[in-house]
Amino acid sequence: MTRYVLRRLGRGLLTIFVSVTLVFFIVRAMPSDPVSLMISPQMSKAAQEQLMHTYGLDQPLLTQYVLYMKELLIGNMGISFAKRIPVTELIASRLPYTLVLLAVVMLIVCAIGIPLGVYAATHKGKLADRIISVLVTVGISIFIPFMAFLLLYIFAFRLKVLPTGGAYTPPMKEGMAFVADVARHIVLPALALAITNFANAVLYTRNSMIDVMHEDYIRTARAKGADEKRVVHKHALNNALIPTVTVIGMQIGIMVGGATVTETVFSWPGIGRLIYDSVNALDYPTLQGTFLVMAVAVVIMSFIVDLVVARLDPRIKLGD
Amino acid sequence: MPDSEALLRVEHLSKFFPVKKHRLFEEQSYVHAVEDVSFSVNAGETLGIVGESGSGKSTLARTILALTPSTSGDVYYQGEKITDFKVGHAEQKRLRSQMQMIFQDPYASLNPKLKIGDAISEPMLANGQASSRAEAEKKTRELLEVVGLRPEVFDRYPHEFSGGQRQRIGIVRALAVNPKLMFCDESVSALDVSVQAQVLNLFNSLKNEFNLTYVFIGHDLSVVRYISDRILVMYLGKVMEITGYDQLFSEKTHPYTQALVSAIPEPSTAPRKNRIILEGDIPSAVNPPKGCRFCQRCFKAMPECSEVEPEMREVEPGHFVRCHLYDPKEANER
Repeated sequence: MTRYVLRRLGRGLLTIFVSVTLVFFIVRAMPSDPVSLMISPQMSKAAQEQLMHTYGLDQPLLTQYVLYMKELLIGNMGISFAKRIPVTELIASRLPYTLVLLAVVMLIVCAIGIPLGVYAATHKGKLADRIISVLVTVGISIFIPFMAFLLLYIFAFRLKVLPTGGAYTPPMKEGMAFVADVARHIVLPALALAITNFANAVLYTRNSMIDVMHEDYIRTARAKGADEKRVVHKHALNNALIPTVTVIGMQIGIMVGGATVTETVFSWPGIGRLIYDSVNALDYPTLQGTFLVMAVAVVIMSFIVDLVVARLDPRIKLGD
Repeated sequence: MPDSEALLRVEHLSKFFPVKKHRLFEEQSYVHAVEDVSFSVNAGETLGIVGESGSGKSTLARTILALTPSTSGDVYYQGEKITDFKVGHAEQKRLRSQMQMIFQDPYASLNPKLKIGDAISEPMLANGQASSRAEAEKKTRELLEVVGLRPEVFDRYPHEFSGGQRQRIGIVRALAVNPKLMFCDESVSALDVSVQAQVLNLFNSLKNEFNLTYVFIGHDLSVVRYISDRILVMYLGKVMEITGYDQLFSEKTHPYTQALVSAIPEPSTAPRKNRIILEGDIPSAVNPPKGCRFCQRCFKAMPECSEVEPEMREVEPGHFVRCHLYDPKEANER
């Protein structure tokens, strides 16, 4: 087991290293120059060069890379070009918003999506299942920004029941009032984000439930005299949940990196919004930082998923 | 055939599966998996059911046990009508515990996520043979020893066992609720021959120890014959013959049974004589042949066979055959 953890850790670090390297060069391959955005033409030549030097942009690419990696090892992600504050601080201030959004989305997905998938599977072919299947297909194929704007139009513009954007209405309130305020603001972005994940969870749960319900051991359970509820929940769902857990777990990893489009549409101050702003500002260090967060989250979540699945399925042995 | 002593009586039981339509205005057709099957099982005997793949043996067992709903016909257990287990809740529990089934595939029929002990305890707890987990565990450990497994297997998972061990686990699971009537659906066909023999012997010894009645389903007549007192031969969803063990080799058997008997391997190197080799495959159960179901492959087929379906006829006491060869009229002519 220790060997397994060590090997996973090594592989995870390698993944992160490769991703950091790729991102470092890709952002610099963008056909534009941050200096031109940062520096106003009125600046003196000396001042411009001074600024370039401060950010290390006058160095050759490889030297920049080595410097960046060295600093990263001691936990320094550099200073944001746009905000002029350390990237670590910037990310730390945005990450909680993304995590809260993620938690609400996952709550919707697990608490409603999985039961709905089970319901559809146990009523396979009936009207309810057909309706659910159609809606799920729509949910998977829908263009999320369209959904986001539709929600905004209906609830914020027409009905005026929910705010149009942001995470709270300034000025920032205290205690429970703040929580209630954020809760009101989170409804629309969470709904928009949940749709695809929700549809996926329903689909995976439904399909694997249908497969499992045909297994011989389900017939065994019925022949034993176990009642239908027990057959569905204990025998079928426990086995059917494995693919759903895998999909949801990996999705969590990806979503820690923020939902760029949704967060931008709803002005949600999370990581996704940060990515959008950083791309516009050609803010290399911040971009690199956000992608690093995403890579770390994916690596950690895939490790957690493996542990959970091994726990759920006694046939899987970790370590080989 | 009504028999006051019969433990289980099946009357005109049928099970049709609808075939999926491909066009909108298409007449609904059905797979005639089990059609008009009647027989009875007496307490303490072993009834063997043989027939080749697709003859409806497993469907018959599942329909009797209400694991699939029947299309028509009735099932009586101890004289009471229990078709599709449409009885009260308490009665349903009693039936579930008194009629148990051992399945064909010992790999697929155990839930991979359930520990052996839990899988065996579950029916006891569900049907009231044990009132607490501790009691169920104690009984389970005892039963595991009866079938030759160490009680330590209680906390292990199915994938840690071989096919023969898994089938023993399946047997313990079925025995756990003190059944009277046990359906063994091809229970040894997934095992290799030496293990088959062990498990068959186990069936025989359990029968005496627990006063069981078996309905033993198989496609291998040499296996079924070994364990059965009476044998029921099925072909394409219909009963072709019901015969006592001794009458299986008599002159007056169904041609299909004769073919099955001739296919039993003999432990001899001498060239086989009298081997009856049937031509072709079992016909589609969607459009069964008019007349006798077996007429297309029968080596004794007469013109009449493809026109009129023969009735079940008692040719010897307790020996029923569905074949025109034994029509009283025909017999007189010959």
